[in-house]
Amino acid sequence: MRRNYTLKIWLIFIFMVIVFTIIKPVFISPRNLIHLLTQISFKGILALGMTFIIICGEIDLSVGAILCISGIVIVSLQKTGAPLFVPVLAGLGVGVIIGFINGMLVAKKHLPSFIVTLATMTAIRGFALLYTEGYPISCSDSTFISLGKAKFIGIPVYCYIFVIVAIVYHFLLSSTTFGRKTYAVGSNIESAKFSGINVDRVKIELFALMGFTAALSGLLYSARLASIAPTNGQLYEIDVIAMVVIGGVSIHGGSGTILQTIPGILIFASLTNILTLNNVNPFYYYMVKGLVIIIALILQGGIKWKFRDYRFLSLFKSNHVDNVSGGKSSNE
Amino acid sequence: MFELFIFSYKIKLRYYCYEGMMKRLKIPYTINQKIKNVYKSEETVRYLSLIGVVFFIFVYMTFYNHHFIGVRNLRNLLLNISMLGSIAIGSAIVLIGGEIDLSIGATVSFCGLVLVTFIDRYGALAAILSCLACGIVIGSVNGFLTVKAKIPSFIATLAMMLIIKTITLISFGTITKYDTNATFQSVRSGTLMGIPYIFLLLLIILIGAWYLLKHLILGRHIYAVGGSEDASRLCGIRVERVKFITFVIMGGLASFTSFLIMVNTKAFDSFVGTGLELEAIAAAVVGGATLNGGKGTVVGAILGVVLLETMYTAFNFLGMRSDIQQITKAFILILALLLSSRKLSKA
Repeated sequence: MRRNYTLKIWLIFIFMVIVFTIIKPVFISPRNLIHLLTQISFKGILALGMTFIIICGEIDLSVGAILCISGIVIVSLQKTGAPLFVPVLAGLGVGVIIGFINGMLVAKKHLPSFIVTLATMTAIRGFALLYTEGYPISCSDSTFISLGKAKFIGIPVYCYIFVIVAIVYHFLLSSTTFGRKTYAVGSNIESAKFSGINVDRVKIELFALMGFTAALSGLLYSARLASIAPTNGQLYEIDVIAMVVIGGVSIHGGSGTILQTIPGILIFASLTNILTLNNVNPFYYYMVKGLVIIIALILQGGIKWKFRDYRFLSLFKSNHVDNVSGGKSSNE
Repeated sequence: MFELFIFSYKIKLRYYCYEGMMKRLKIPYTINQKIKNVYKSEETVRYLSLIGVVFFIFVYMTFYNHHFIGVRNLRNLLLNISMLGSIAIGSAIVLIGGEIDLSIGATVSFCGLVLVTFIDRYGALAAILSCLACGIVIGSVNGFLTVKAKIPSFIATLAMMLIIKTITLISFGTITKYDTNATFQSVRSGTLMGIPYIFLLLLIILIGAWYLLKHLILGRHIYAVGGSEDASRLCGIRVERVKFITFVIMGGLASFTSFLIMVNTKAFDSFVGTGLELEAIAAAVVGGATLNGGKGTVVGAILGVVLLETMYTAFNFLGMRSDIQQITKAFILILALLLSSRKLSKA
């Protein structure tokens, strides 16, 4: 099943597009396609970075928060009137720094990545809330706003940036030593260590790359909306994990490619889009995301149906040793 | 000469025999030595330091505002401890087994709403039974996903949380449901020599969980599975069954918690359990559990609950702003998790 997974996922996507078009012909209209492409671009860039992290066996929950804080940094620095590359570089730099901190805590202190990124997420959200005091910040630089609204052959610029990032990351994952090292660390960390790979350095670089990716997405997000609110990007993490997992990247790490993640991104975005088009109750979105994650993971791993444990009541026997000499213990 | 030879031989024998070995390696062998060591064990140190911190907070807050020791505040504190404590016990059991359960907040909301809705229609007993049944079913689905479908428990329970939250919101909406008949009034306001019945229910659960973990085989198996899954599999422990039972216990305790919350505050809405899972994990971790599994006790979990609730009450007394309280609670949780993981990384 693992060999032709990419082909299968693309076929599932094409099948879904056909079904959705039959249900709602509006799906194919240019306006809806632009809307779909917007969702694909923003969350897709995050998912492309997340692919690296999940292949390595870690997880990153702080991507939404990094998106938010880099957007806040960029928009706030705009007001000072500096030339445009200063806020942009500062925003990207903030993302890299936070990713670096994540990577240091995971690699050097051997803390579970779930906890570390949860901590980072909470801290960054707290800072964002305290700095903005709950209100959105808006941006007044005309160059920035025009960059956000720019279109090239009718398709917004950020979609092209998503394609460029996809190509670059695919090259990074499949054809560079960094990508091979990621696979090695994800498959078996002990043998990677014994092969001479500097596992700590790989993880730090990985999380820094994720931070940069999230900051890039934040840049595009704030450019498009010309403002940023401290609650933007909340719960993006779940969507991003769902996208990567649908694509077939194994959650335990060690296998998966960018070419598998892209149809995952497309499937998830189209699913959300068709739900919006059908005016489905917004409460159902959570359920759809949860079900999609579970179904994708079951399809990845399969279900073990053998369940031949029938001596259930033996568990409730007491634990005490019957006689002192000899040390006979009453377990099964 | 011959006696000397025999005597030296006897001394050597004494040296090499079992008691001599124990004395040489300084392993406590007699009862006296064992009692001396109990007071140095890691768990006891942790319990004593938790009680010390709680005592310190009490002393400080009493100087700040003497109502902190008042009967009303203490009773409130006891009720809060009961509500958070029963779910922290379940969370501790799951953490000892090496898994993590993030869906308990949504489970509490769902089971509580089931309880409140069914009390008006079908009576108290049917409501309690259906609430328990819902909790156990949700726990078994979590267990199935983790054990059979081999989905990492963090993601499986996260996805289940989303699904249960949706089911709750769709079945019951966002309105608050009240129990107008005051069915459990006697349980709510009753006391046994001054201790509220709700706290006694928590004590019953605590004693049951303690007995399970210390004196039943299942308890030893949970510790083994949490400590090392491969080793316990090689020992013949049915790892899958143990983990499944852990999740079922967690589901049952979540529904019991929703029962306690319903008794305490006669209302329920869909957002009651929103932060509960993280608070329960924080309490269990403060009390000694680690996220890798194999360590922890339920008594420690309850002491962690006491500490956390004392801190939350102290925050209220100090007049901290609500959003700063949220951020502080999150930071405490993360500090507890980071400190527990750091101890394990040194081992």
